[in-house]
Amino acid sequence: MKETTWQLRLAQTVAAAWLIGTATTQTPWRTLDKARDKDFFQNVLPNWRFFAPDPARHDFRVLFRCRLDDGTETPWAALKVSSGRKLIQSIWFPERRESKALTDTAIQIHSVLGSPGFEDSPSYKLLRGRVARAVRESEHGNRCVDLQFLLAKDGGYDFAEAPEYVFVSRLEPYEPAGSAYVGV
Amino acid sequence: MLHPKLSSVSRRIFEGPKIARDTALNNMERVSAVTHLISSLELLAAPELQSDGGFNDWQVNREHYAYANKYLLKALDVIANPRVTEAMLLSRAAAAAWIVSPFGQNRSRFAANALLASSAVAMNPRFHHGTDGSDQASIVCQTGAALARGFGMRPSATDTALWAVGLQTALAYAVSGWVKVCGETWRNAQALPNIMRTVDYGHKPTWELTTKYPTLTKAITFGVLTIEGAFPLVYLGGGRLFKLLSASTVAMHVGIAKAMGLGRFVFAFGAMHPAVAYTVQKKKGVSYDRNDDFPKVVAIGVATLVLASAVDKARARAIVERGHGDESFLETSRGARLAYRWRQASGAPERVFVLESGAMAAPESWDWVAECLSAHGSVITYHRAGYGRSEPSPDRGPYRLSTAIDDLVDLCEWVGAGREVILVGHSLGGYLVLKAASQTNANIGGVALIDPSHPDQYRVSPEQRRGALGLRNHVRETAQVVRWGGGLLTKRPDVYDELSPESRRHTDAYLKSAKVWEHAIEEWDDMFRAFDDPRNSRLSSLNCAVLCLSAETSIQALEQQQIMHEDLAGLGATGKHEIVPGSNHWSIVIDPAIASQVAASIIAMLCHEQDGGSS
Repeated sequence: MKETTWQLRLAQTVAAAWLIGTATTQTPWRTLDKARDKDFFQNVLPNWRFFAPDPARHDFRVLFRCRLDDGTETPWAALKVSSGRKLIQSIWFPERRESKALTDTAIQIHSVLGSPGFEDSPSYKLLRGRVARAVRESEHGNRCVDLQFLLAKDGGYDFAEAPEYVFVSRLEPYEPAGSAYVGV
Repeated sequence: MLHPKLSSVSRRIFEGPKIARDTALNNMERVSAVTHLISSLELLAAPELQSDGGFNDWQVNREHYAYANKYLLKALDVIANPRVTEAMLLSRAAAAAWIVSPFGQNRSRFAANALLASSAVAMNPRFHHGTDGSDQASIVCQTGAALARGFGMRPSATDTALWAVGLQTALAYAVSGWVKVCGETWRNAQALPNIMRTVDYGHKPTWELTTKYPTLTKAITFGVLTIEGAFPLVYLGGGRLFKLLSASTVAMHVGIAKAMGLGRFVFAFGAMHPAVAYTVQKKKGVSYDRNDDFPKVVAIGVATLVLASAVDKARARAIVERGHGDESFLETSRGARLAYRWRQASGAPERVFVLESGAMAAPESWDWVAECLSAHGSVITYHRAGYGRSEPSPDRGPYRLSTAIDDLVDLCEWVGAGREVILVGHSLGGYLVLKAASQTNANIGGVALIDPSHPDQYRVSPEQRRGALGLRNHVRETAQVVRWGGGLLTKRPDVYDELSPESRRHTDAYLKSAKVWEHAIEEWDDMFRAFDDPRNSRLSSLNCAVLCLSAETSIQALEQQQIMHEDLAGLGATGKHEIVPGSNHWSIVIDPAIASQVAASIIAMLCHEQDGGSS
């Protein structure tokens, strides 16, 4: 069989385009990520800029409270998304997905914070939905009328640094049943 | 002279790797499959992330993909069905286990490779939040393996696949290292303590060690930068540095797994090393028949990209130099040559609107405002000297905003001969028109400030100052990129999407000019200098109406913004301040619907003046 066929040349060209396309989107300046914007699935062009140029130095925290049916307000409670570190997590760490997802969502919220219609953004809705679920799972699930949440960031184990508040939500009506997704 | 034993160890460390083609491919796909297996099982173990109230609730995340064509969106909907998602994850876990196992012939392994690579891509929208670099690295390996097996493990195809993965690996480490070098916290060795102090990615005992032993922390930090940044050197000298750098990076991944809980990275990146080991070998080694066409194809691709960038740069320069073809020119008293466009309105009043843009903004950003205003007078848009076709005086000294103000005064007096002039300025342009209005002899009938800069803004708000400095750095970096022909890779800011196709074409070309970015830095620097001088806080009162329109988000972002804008409106004989609902700093001029509101407010100000109104 002939070693180099047109099919192989095509495969080489596609792989080279993939490599070059990846390389063009790896600068520290996101304004050059033009090719990445065209990556519909968002993972065809890998992003190799791990913890660079400057890594995040904060943990995002979500606090929430409820206005109950008798008009009283519950104290602020923290949304739990990650637990402490154990050795097993070096190879098995399903909880990491949610803490990473919270960080991703919080970064998106940061980018649209203060824009008109901010409360209609997917990232805001996701956080609102996550808080509503936490309320459902709490002792106040049956009595909550409205909920409110705030996003803050802190220095993690470094208690010397005061937490910084990112935003406080408006009062949101609480839906006890959630909005169950009916799949296709 | 080295001790014989040491010499032997040294020789072993610095001798190139020896690995056969099939061994490299098998090791790569097997180790990578471990990442896919763990990843799939982890996602199966955390279904609440995908359900209602989870960060991957498809009902919400679907909005990110709403622009997709209906068939693609339908396919994503199918994948997002909880039962389908679960079935796909189970299939992925089974395929990964199959690859890890010693069973299976080429065809079944190809099917498993293809399934893992394609499903990881297809499911990414479903797992919009929470994926990481290990997922991406494992896609690279399985795609490479699928390529080789798709061609029946034909040597040339397998070599192509291993080259593709090997070069991606070198790129991955190099990027990770060199982009870190661009970060201040890596350079000053604060990055490691910063990461380690977080609960999400850090580790309390490690954080305490990094703060207790700063010298050791510095050594580890620079060690990480060195082994990552230097990784591509494995391709020199037949892979003499491969063992050293491969072992160092694997040790780094293991350390990260322990301290940061990122264990999947060990397998995801460890899987890439066999491909590197195979491709760094000298051709005269075990793989004397290795097909090295792929690097040549990449080199041709890079050369093509460089050529395309040069052509694009020349094309952009030609568009800027040609302009719209309807520009007029004015030699100013300061020796500048201003290119301006004049929209002459037939039957409109003897009035001319002079529109002054913000720093770096293309005059086309005024298109919608200008169109609305043109029914009420002539409209002038222009580039300040240094931007677009407008040239500064050849013998000018350091750039000063005062020169731009003098040029604007000259322009007003030139185009305003026998007419009433209405000055309209956006952002920095707002400050410039206020200054010009107080200096010109033209008949100024009114001043409209659109989300203007205030000379006190950086003293009032350190946050705004930080933001502006950050933006300045971004402009400086982009200037360098554009100068070296990277304009082809730059994104046009989304704000310009609202313009007409013709204006977008001009704006694209304008933003690909390094001159524009470099001039913006000069302008920015003098703006900081001017605004830091308290004497500039005292702006002169004007004998005409002043309208100040604030963007809603500017007011929301900074409490004092409203006070500063009211202060500017108060400079007029009659002054009015309004907040434009639903607007931000850019949409207030560029968005067609908002721009028409802005124009209506300007016209209302003029009508109010004609009616003899007061503030």
